[in-house]
Amino acid sequence: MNRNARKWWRAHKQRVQQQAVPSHTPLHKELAENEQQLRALYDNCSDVVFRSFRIGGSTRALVVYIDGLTNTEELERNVLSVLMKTKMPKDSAIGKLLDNVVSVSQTNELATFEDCLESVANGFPTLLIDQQECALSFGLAKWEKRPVEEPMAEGVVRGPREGFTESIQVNMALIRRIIKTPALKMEQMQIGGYTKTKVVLAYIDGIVDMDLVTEARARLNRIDIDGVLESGYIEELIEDHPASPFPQILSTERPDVTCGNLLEGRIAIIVDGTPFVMIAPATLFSLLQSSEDYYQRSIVSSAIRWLRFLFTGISFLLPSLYVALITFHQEMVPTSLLISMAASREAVPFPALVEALLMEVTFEALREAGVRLPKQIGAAISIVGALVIGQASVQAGLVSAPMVIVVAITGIASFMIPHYIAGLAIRLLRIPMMFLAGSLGLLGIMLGIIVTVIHLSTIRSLGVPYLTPIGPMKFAEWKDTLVRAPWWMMNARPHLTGDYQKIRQGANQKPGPEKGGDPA
Amino acid sequence: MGRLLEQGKISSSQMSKMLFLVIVASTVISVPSLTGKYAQNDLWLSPILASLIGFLTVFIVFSLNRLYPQQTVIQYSPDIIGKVPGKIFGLLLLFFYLHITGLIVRNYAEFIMGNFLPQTPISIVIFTMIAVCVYGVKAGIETIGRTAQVFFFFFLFPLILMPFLLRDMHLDFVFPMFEHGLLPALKGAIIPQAYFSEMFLMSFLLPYVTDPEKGMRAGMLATLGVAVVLTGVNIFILLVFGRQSSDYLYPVMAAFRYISIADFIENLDSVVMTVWILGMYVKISVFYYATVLGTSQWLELSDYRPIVIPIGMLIAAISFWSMPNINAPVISFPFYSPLMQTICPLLLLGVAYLRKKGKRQSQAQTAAASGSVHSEKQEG
Amino acid sequence: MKWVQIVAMSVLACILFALEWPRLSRLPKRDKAAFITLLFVAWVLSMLDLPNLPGPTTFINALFRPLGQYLE
Repeated sequence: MNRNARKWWRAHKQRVQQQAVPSHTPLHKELAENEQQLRALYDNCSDVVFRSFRIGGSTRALVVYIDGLTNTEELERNVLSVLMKTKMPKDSAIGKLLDNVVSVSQTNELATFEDCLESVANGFPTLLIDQQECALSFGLAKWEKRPVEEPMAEGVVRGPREGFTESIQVNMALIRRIIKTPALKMEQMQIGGYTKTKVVLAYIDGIVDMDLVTEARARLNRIDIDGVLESGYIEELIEDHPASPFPQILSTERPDVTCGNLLEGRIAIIVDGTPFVMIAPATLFSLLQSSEDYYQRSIVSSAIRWLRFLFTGISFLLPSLYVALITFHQEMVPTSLLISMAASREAVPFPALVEALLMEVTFEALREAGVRLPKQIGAAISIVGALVIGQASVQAGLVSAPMVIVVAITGIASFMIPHYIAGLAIRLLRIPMMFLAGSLGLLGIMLGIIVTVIHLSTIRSLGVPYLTPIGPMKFAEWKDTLVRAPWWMMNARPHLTGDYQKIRQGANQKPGPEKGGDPA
Repeated sequence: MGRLLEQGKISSSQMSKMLFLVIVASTVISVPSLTGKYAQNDLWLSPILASLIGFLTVFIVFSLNRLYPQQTVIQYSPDIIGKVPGKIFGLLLLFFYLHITGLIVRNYAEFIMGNFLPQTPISIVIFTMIAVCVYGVKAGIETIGRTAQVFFFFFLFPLILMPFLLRDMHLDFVFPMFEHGLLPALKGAIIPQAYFSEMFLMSFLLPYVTDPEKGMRAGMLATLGVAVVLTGVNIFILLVFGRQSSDYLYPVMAAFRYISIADFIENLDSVVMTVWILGMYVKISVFYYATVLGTSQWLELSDYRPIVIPIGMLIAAISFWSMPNINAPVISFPFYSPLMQTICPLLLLGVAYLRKKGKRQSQAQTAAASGSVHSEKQEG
Repeated sequence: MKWVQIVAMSVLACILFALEWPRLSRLPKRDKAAFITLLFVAWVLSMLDLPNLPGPTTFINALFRPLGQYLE
């Protein structure tokens, strides 16, 4: 079965390659033959435009481009009209044509059919000239893009409001605009047999551990897939532990987050067609950090981090703790609280575990529905949802009021995790935790925690243990994990793997009145 | 011969945290009452006396490891005392560890049943814990080391709560000191010293430590840490309960039950219990790991993972075996444990030294005979 | 009760065997033999009425009795 499938795949790949006949086939000298070949390849592609004309009224030429991906105005003004008027140079050197006639900044000479196809597919109009063995592509791609907007999923109060877009050029530019050194490298590759998606591996030479880059490059090159529609495809194919609910690669919509991570020696993987840039290696604590932590005052940020840790714990444990206390350990609840809880649970027909599961699942359904809903009815659903789970179910005696409070707090808590995917992992683990709590009480919860911690300590992200800096301990990095130390204290970069450039800034920069300005 | 079945590596600080939790986890809740039984109000001295065995054991293990780096006791004992006796000693040691792990699991289960889940069948409590440990042990020593590191901080948390008991403490409970001489304190040290000799587990961990030269320091620090914590806990229990300490089966739990902050935060014994489960997990999985690793080295297997589950089942079986209830305490433990983990290794070390010395002498003789003088230096 | 225990332990042993075997099949014979033997021993032990049988604990206790009495 498996072998058959593999056989089929190999045959299929061959077929695909045969279809794309002239891979690495050089262009012919005769324009007519080239045109025939290209037209055959673009058979039934109504969006491809073939435009024949004569350079200076004599030499035959052909421009091929895709309608909608090309800036036709520029093409007409700077290529077609100019070429039609000029005379083809006698020595028939295509370079001269470029130097003297065509006023387009980005041009490329292409020698094979494959290059032509690629340039056409990327929106570059491609010029083929009779009696020339190479074609010219002009960097006149232009298509509809979403403008740079504020990221939807990672809002900040203080901090840049730019977010990545679907276009890889724009995204690369956004990063380059922040990190201007030539040490910022962006290696480009293509992934996806059909989509030929551009993927860029970005890192800062001299800061990053090159072994990390080599490893990432090797993993990217290993990918053999039909198409890449989102960075998630690539994430799933390069991560270390595919069976884990925890994301081992950070994804962000924010250029500032990407740059901050690049400056700490991580690598970024930018994928065309998605505003989500992947950052690796990631640790559990990096998922609990927001970019704004670094923009606010350090004391405030530290406090907010602690709040976030607390609520991450709450989001993970609160419903199961409630179930455990109600079912097994009533004696641990202070008496007055127990009485009021018991009173509100009096009419509830379900055991605590069922009640909690019911409410949690309802809440998750509401959340999921809220994301998928057409925006216009979002408000209606949230009102109905709030009424259903909040008001009516309590009045009908189906659920107790404390349970509603618990679910509501848990819901809020899970949205405090700055990275949505990390929140999803914790939410997912909440359900088995509730079962454990319902069957073994506090012991079940503790066993669940132990299993979670074991799991977390087996995970690595590109070789970096997921629980760094707590297990393995790196005390020096606590100041940017448990708290957010002020910048003048963070003189060393966090250590990821192997060699790295440890010092990140000048020492002894603590400001103070006695430092003042110049002593003179 | 020195084949490493384990690919993972731990740091010496991870090792010392593992060892710390191994000893503290099982002693902290019951030792005050066990020592109090003999030492009365001198029970604070007992852990200090008992820790001497711990320091001795660390020294023995470390010296053995220096002679045979990259090997566990199962691997080097045939080298020291000959193939057959070495294998027999290894088997006895493995049997000891298997047995002790079973007893630890049983102890844990009894405690959980007695304090928190009186209606749950004991087999469920045992099986769930072993299942969790199977997961941990299969993940390897690296993972156990990291979890120990994480749980270490949680484990220290209840110590912060101790000051809330200040108003229940009575300083005069300490006096009169040494009413009957040192003997009661020494007698009280007999049980904790058995736990201190568990430091011998270091022998299974040292080959996988990245910085083994710090192993001695790490082991000594762990022992010191245990001694400090146990002494602190004993003093604290003594100050709260006085001579009645030994009336409670789990005096620490009883003491924490007293704590009441603002008349609202009560029943902090549950905090102690939850944290204690974390420590117990580390303890059981380190013992379990040592058993599994030792067994696979004894059998010369190519990997230790295949036998993790069968050994887990054996541990579960032993935890039931000939113990209808826990009320018959294992009187042999205080002697059995140091015999296997301190005295026998001490003999091993002695033999190893004598053999090395003999070798050196014979080498020196041959060297002298052949006229070269610098062989001593090389050996040193 | 007894029968339930026997059936449950046998099922458990079978499940564990089935879970482990795919990974084991690549390993040398020695490993397989060790796995099967140990699993078999554990399975046999689980058939017995262990709590009321003399076992290692009884043996060791008997061995160290003289020393233990000193403690009493």
